[in-house]
Amino acid sequence: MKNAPVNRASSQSAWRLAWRRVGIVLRSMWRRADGAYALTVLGLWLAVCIVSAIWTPYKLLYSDGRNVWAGPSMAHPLGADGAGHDLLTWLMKGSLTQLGIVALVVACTAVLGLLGVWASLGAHAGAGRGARIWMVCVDTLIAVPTVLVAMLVSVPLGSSIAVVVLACSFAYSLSMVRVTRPVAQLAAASPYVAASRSYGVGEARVFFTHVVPAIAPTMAVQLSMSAGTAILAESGLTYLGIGVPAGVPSWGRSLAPCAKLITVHTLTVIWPGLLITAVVVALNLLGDALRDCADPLVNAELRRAGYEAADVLDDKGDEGDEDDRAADAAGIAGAFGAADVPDAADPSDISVAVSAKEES
Amino acid sequence: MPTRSDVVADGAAEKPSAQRDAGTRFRVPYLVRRLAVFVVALLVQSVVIFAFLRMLPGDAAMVLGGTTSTPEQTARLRAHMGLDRSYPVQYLSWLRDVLHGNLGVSQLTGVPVGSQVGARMAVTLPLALMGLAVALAIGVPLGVLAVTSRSAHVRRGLQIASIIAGSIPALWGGLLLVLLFGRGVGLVGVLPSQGFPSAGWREPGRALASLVLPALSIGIITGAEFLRYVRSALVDVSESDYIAQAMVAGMTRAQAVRRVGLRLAAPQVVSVAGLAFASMMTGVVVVENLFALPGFATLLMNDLKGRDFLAVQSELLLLSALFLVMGLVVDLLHHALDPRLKAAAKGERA
Repeated sequence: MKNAPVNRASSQSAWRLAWRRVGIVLRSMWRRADGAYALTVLGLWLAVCIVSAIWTPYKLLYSDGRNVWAGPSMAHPLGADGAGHDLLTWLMKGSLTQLGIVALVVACTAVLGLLGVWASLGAHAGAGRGARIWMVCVDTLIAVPTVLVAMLVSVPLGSSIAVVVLACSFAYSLSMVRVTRPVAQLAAASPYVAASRSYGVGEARVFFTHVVPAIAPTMAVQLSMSAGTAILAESGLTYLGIGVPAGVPSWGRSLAPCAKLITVHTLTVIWPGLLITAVVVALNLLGDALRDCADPLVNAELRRAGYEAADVLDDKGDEGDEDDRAADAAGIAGAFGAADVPDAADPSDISVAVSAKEES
Repeated sequence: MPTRSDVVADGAAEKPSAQRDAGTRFRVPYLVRRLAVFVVALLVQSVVIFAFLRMLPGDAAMVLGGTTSTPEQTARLRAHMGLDRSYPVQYLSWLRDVLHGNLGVSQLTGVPVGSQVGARMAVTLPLALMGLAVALAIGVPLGVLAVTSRSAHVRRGLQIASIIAGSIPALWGGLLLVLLFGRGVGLVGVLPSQGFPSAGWREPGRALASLVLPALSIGIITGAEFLRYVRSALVDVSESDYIAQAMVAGMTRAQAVRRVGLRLAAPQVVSVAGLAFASMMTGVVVVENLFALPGFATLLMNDLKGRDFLAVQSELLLLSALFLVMGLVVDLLHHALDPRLKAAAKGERA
């Protein structure tokens, strides 16, 4: 009798709470200098992608024969490349390709990384030996450089976007497994999991309700860093002739031919590299800002949203005594989806402990 | 962050029992065990490399034969190269040759793989060493400064600078350096930006000069990464009692971090540097290409393009041996650098 309304309320408010959390995280990122820079650059990137789908200054393959390697001018604001293509057009069109590559790398890394973490947790399901062998494999494979993977994969695939995506997601998902495993193991050993198991909850459900939320913050940081590294890898591999094929616009494709003619056409070199650096910096800062803002232990506002959710769920209605330690714990648990073991390895714990001491 | 030392850590977990067994002479059995692991790992990797390369489509006979050769001619070429034998036979004969110190002959050029790799390593190894030196020279002092500086602007500025330097595409960074220092191109045109002298190291001055710009462009990017590692390692360490103890003994915070903290962080830095050095063997391929240097990774890429799998498998085996050796070196350095490991050994003896 009591269960039904609480469940409905919680499933409704879970979505609303998730939305609120996204809003809070974005807002608190916007208030930091690095977060604001990251959000601005990434927002511009998305905007350019949308614009370039509708309009670009020139057609992609329009070639201006009299303006080969032209410097900046009214007709070509960023100049033109060796084939007389307008550089601005190619960079705009390239941003869409780049977004696709990055999205694919991030998606593949996330999926492969989760599979890897799942395999590494076998120890708790009674398959210790397999999990240990898998971790030895991960430790060995992680030493294989991305470039080498790309070279090997390019033998059957030639130069294609698939080479970039495969090589990057292979390397990044392995390091994702390495970084998130300690947190995942902690979560898998938590009483929540033991309790769920005792009810007969399946392995997959335990993994997704208890382990994934725990490693999600670490994963988000890792993924945003991987996105940046993927852009760098794309430019390198494309230059080597095993990345984005000729004729497909991408930032690396615009940068690659500059290398040969740098002596004559200095200015054309600047733009693609500057663009890549600016975006990669943004993705790295996004990771940093996300680490702080998406962590309820650091972000007080997020914690407060957690308290309120906990209040709604428990229907306690005691507002106002937020510096109570018990409420603190409930709030943290609530903000983590009531399933989290705080990450003991995170240095932010210390700062929170310190600030808590200062407050009291 | 993954490091080579973590790979090694599995072996280290069993160490206490080794110490108990061997008492005072624990180092010898430890080394013996490490060498045994080394040999087994190399054998496993040789199988993996061989099997993986055979899964790739095409072979050297098809590349050498070109588009004009008939299937019979290609088959004869394949038989001549010994590529028609069964895989286990091919693997065993390769293994026997390698154990006899014979890495095979490149099917494309007819040059022995060993001497080919040697000539390329004469470029890549010095390049990687110089790159590593630049990276350490940038990363360690600035990483310390990013922790000990009294000015918050300096600390934040160094952090931002390291993020920016780490976000520069290697190709673009190299190009910018050429624009700054390249002879005939740059603002301060003092250094050659293209090629390696054909006389090689018999002209040491020219050879060294040709490696300066590439080493700088690798070193700056890697140095930014080192800066971040050193900084975060020092931040972790500076919470420890060791630093508090040193400050009680009268050191300033900066002194304590420099003298005690850096020593505590050294094993981590060594791990990162070891892994960085090993991955430079192939990681520098873009820079090698840009500066027209005949390096190892370029050779590997050409051999892969030519489907010269006999050469590639020996090259990859050498590469993985190098990775394993680096792991070993890093581990031994850990023992030399970390007094706690030594103390543990002494404690066992007492």
